[in-house]
Amino acid sequence: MARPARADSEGMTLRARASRQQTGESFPEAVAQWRLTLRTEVKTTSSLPTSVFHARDATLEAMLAASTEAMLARLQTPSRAANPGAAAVAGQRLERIGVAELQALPLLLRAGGDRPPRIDDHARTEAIGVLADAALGADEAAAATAAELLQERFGIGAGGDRDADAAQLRQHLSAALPADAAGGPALAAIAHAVVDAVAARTAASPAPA
Amino acid sequence: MILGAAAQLRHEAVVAFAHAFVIAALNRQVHDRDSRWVADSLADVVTALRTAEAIGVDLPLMLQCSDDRLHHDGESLDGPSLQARSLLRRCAERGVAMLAFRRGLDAAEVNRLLDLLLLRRNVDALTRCNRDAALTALGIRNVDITLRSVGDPANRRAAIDPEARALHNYQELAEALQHNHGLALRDLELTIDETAAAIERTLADFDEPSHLLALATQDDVDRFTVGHSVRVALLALQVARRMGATRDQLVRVGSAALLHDIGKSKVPQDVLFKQGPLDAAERAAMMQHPRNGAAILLEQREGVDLAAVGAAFCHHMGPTGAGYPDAVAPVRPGGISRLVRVCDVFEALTSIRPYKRALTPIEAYAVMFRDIGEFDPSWLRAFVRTIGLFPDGTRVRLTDGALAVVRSQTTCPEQPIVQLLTGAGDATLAPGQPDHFTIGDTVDGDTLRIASIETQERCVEVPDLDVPPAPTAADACLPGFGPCGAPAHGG
Repeated sequence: MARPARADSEGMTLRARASRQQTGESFPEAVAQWRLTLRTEVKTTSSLPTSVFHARDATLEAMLAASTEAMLARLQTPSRAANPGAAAVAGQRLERIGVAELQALPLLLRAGGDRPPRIDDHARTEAIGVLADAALGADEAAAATAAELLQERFGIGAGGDRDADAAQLRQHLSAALPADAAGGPALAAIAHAVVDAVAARTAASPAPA
Repeated sequence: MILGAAAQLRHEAVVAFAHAFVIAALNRQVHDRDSRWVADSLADVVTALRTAEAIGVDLPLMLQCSDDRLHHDGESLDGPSLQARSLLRRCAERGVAMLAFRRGLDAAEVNRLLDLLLLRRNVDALTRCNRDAALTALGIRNVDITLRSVGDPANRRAAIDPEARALHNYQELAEALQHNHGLALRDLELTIDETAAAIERTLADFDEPSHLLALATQDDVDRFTVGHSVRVALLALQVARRMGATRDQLVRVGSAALLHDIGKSKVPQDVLFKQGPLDAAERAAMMQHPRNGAAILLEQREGVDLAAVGAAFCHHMGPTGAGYPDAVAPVRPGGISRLVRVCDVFEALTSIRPYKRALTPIEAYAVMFRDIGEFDPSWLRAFVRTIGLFPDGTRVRLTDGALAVVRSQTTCPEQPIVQLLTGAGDATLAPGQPDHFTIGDTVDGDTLRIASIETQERCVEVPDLDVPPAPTAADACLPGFGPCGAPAHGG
């Protein structure tokens, strides 16, 4: 069964939208849209009842319906010979993948020799970096929480010696940098700014001894 | 089930109507009754009904409501049901068995119907003796409401059917996330504990992962990108479980993945769902969502796992911190963020978007390996080996012309176990003919491989994938990945 149409932000299905825009719709979609448009236009532009425009001959209508269904069914069956995916639907991008890229996948999966990933890898480094960013840049409530967490969980700003705290934080932050990058004065300045922010925001509630 | 083309179009029109109705109900629960978002979605319900009628759906269009799904003509509408949990719950509270929508329905009437179905004060309005009076009082003339019989066991499947339990779990995740997005939008306290509890309950049934992952392929209403986030969470849980994560770790992974896009609740919806390319200002607004997400989570009084804050902040960053947001302090993403990033990109590549078509998983992997620096390679490899180059359920054409479906994975991702649907050259399978075998095995002197992947809209040719003769030391060190050809552990 075909995937049901996805509704977009305006509630119109993507299929209907694609058809309305006349951009690369499939034949059955175009037929459905044509029928809808025709009936809508008849209703809005003619005072005659819609039934006037229906086929009068029930046998003819049944034959037409049967032959159309058969045609649509054939069109909906993917061809094994062709690769319809190679032709992107107009208006909808389709990433091009080279044969060589697919062929390389099994070897790529075995390359690297990396150790198995772990859930808690770099967790501390990530947390300190994200909290430092929030302490400096987030809105009031988030910045205050970030400052508290830096102090409570990582001891930043808990010692009372801002230079020592900044040096400690700089060491933590430098773990996020590539091995050959020291961080330099810029990192030191960031560490000082974070320690100052933590001190300012936690002044009213000093950390427990 | 195989439908004729015309019947398929009618079915899609019914699904589109059900989607529109679910979206309208979701909008009513998040936005003001008379807001623009509600008005737009109500108009969409009316449009969808008219479209359905024009395509040939018989009116009144009937939606049956069980406790866990919407149905039409006895057929389950799984996609629209995925995010319909709160609507269905309210229908159940009111004893609603079926809604029948007639020609003449207008947007205001749909809104009044939602008053009846959603507002707490109307919970008793639909008793048998009150129903007609309630419908008259609210001016609902074009919707018939059928009530359940006394003792109707509408949810009897849930207790016994893994598929029904999987749907229930998916709905619960979606509802928890939907609720939190709505709270974040209004600067209210999130219900983080409920989210973690929903993950816990999902894990209880996670021994049936195929049912959950099958639901992850359903098109649902992507309100606030909820469907995307639920799918990312399910993928992340699969991989983390395969990598030996403890139960506590799984709850943390699931919660972080589910909430990774919470910052999008602060992105204007005009930008979030824009059909065309974003301009510079819109792009800047969109690129704020990781920082916004971290801030939203930090503001929760209850406190939130720092891994979830990290994943919200870092899920658009590569392993070195490159990407966005442009952090003030150096940031190196942690393990959970790296996993969420892989799942996030994979889900995006394999989903339909207004501007792009869906890639098959193997194509998505090729794109991701093309940009390997964007990902932690160890997490990317673990992901591919867990989900498979040809995930379970993929329909494939073999080199002898037979059609088959992938049933399970082995330790070699390019060699899944398949079940034949037809014989060589598309011939009918002979009775008693073995129908399960591993790709790469020799059958009647032929070594069969996968020639193409057949999706509903595309046929993707698969080249001959070289099969290395023996696993490397790297294979051996990944938990659950043994020598080539063995069934995958837990897969």
